[in-house]
Order: sequence, then structure tokens, then C-alpha cells
Amino acid sequence: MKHEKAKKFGMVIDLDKCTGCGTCMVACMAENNVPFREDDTDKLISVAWMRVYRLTNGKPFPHTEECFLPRPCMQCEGHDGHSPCVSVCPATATDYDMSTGIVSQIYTRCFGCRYCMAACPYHVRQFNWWDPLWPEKMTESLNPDVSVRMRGVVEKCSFCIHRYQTATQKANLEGRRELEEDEYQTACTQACPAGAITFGDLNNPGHAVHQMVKPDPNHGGRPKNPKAFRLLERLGTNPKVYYLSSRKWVRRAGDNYIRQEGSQNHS
Amino acid sequence: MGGAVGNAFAWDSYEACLGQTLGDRWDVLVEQGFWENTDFSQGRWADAFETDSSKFEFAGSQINALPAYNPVSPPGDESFYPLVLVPYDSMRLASGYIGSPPFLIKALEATILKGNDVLVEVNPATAAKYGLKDGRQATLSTPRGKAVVKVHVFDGIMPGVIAIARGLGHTAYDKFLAHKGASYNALSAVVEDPATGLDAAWGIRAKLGKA
Repeated sequence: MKHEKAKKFGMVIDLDKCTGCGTCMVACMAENNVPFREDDTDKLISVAWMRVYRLTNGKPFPHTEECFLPRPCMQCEGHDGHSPCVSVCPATATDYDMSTGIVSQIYTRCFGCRYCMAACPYHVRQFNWWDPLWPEKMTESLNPDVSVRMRGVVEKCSFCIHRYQTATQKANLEGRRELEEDEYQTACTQACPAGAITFGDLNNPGHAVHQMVKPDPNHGGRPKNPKAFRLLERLGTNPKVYYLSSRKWVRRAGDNYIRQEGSQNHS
Repeated sequence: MGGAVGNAFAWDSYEACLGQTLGDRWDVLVEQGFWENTDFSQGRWADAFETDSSKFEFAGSQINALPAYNPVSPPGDESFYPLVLVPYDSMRLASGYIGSPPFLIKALEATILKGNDVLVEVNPATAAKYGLKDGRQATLSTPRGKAVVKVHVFDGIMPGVIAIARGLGHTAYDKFLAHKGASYNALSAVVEDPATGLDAAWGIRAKLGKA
């Protein structure tokens, strides 16, 4: 089942605009009730749905360049919804929603085997080694629309699906079936002070994301935009998060290349 | 802005003002986030000014307040402190009087804070010269004090210079911030510029050795 008629929510992140300030991470944690610990510096066990990576071009001083790369869940479509994490989950605790293109995580079904974490090539999925604990009074600022997660389950970026549900309910009550583009936006998109993140329905020609990464049928469906790329595209995960960069070394950093491999790829 | 002040301006908003005054460049800025002047070529700064410093000098000739250009060196004995420690501001670390809140500490890069240690940026050439390894603890000392830090080997920092992020080493605030890392302020010293009396040095001589 292909989902041309359905919605396919995706994100375009312009790395030329990203300053690496981390506002997207903070907004995400506040929106999605992501807890913090006294020492959260071990990034392998620290839970963060959005993470900003710092890339360098590997050239010696003074030719060193840096680029910040925010990484939400890639919401992989794979082939016909066979995203890497969904395929391996023995508990059906994660599924690919054909009507939105969003990969879910159902905390109450997850029993913490962490197959999905091993399968995800983007380190998007994270395991709760501890029960969440907020400083006193801060529990009052938790988002009532997002459940907190207990020790022993996996969690990940949901593209703020609760906002989609709320917006859809509101639209339905008003007798509308379709949402406007600005009625459903993720927390990171709205928080970014540089306007580097654009979010919307990739299938809707009226949405900005559709125009930014419009596919080129003569080029295997790759975006016409020469600045566009996706992470580890060659694995066939078919992510719905696109990146833009005018710098070639950044675009090449999005995938693994063996030494001396033709530089014509993604040029 | 409203009333007479608002009416005095020809534009409805600041954005409209920018759009009109920048013209085509504004559209490019909105579209790609930056605007590049392809016609720009850098001036020949080395011989742009016929002053002692080869730089722009501004002084009253009547009072002769700038008799000569005297470069100010960072404090410390170069033979004992071969490196220069400079501070830098990270976008993800509050460096002023107010400390970073817990979400921001969590969002801090692993190249700035690891455990309770701040990482200092060291060029690969400097690291090789002093036998320092990436991620390992080291002792950072200046004429003003000592701190335990971790080494972040990074090409982006000049050889011979060590950079430390501003905003750590607090003794105040909560357990998420207090007693993490080291503060540049505790390691730095002031050098007075003889002409102006202002603090003139950016950085201090330092030594970085295996912990």
C-alpha cells in the first residue's frame, strides 16, 4: 500500500541557517516531558528526542569548518512502511502510520528489548534506564498531552503527534477535514530562532516542505534542489527528514563513503 | 511604536523597513539565510595605514595620548607557560551572571562538558607536542590558578592556543550546574593598557599537562 493520497509529514532542515544554539532540543524536552539527570553528559544513555550534532570538515587549522546538524526522528518510510525499527519490534510497540507517515512508539506495549535501538541507524531511539524524576514543582509544568515514560521502555521523537491529534480534533469539531499548514507544527520547528526548520506535508503541493524538496522524476525521485540530502540515504531507509546545505562536505558527511569513492555522488 | 514616533517612520514594521532598504538582498537573506557579496575583495591591510601598528590609530595630536604603539602580551612567563588560554562563548551555555538551566546543561555538547569536567579545545599539533590525548584528563595551570579539565582535540583552534568555554565552574545554583567544569574567570588575570588603563589582553599564558 502506497500512501500518495494520504499525508506524509516531513521536515526540511536548512543547515546553512542552523546556528547550533540548541533551542530545538530545549523546546522538544519541555514539550515532550523528556527528563534530565544530574549528569547527562554520557550521550549514549542520555535521552533526547532531538539532538544537535557538531560536524567538522576534518581539515587542519585554519581551514577547519564546522556545521551543526539537528537530528529528530527520520520517520523512515523504508519501502512501503518497512522502517528499520518497525520491522524488528516483537511487541508491535511501534508502527508506521500510512495516513500520516509517522512512526509511532507505544510505551505501554514496549517491554524494553531494544531491538529497535539496534536497528535504527540514526541513534534516534533511546532507552529509559531510570524512572524520570523532575525537581520539585517542575512536575507542574509537565505537558498534560504527552505521557511520561517509565524505566525500561524505549522512546523517540514523535513529530509531536499529540499536536496533530489536538489540531485534527479541533478541525473536526469545526466541521473541517483538512488542517491548515500552520495548525500542525512541531515544537522544534516553532522554537527555532533562525527559521532553519520547516515542517509540513510532503504530499501537499501547497506546503513549503513540498516545494523545497520536490522530487525529480528524471533523477530517481531525488529532490530537484541540489542542496538537499538525507542521512545515510544509501541504506534505503527512505527518511522524511531532509537537510539542505550549500556546502559539499556537509552533504557528503550525510552518508558513508569509502576512500577514493567517486565524488560525483550528491555533488 | 505608536503616536508621533510611529508616524515619523515611513514603514509599518521593522521587517518592512529591512525589506525596503535591503532590496533584493533581503529576499536572498530570507531564502537562504545569508547573502554573499561576490564582488568583495579583501583590502591590503598590511599597508593600508602608515602607522606604527599598521592599524587604524585614533588619538588627539594636541595631547599626544598615543605616543607609540606597544603591543600588550598576555600575562605570564612564556618559558614556564608555553601556551595561551582564551575564553569563548558557546551558544548553548549561559556565560553571564545567570547560569544555564537544566535543559540547557543537558543540551550541552559532549565536546564541552563530560562528567564534571569541562573540555578545553587543543589543536592536534599542540596535543601531540605535550602528549595529550583526546578525552583524557589534564591539569590546566595559569599564573592565577589550576584546574582539572579534559582535552578535546580540535582542528579549529590555533596551535599553541587553548580555548575554554565561558559559563561553567559555578559554585552557586542547583546540582545540575554547580561544581561542574572550571571558570575562565578564576584562571585569568588583567593586563592594563598603558595608554587607556583598560584591560587589554585577551587570554593568559597557560600550561597543560597530563593529570
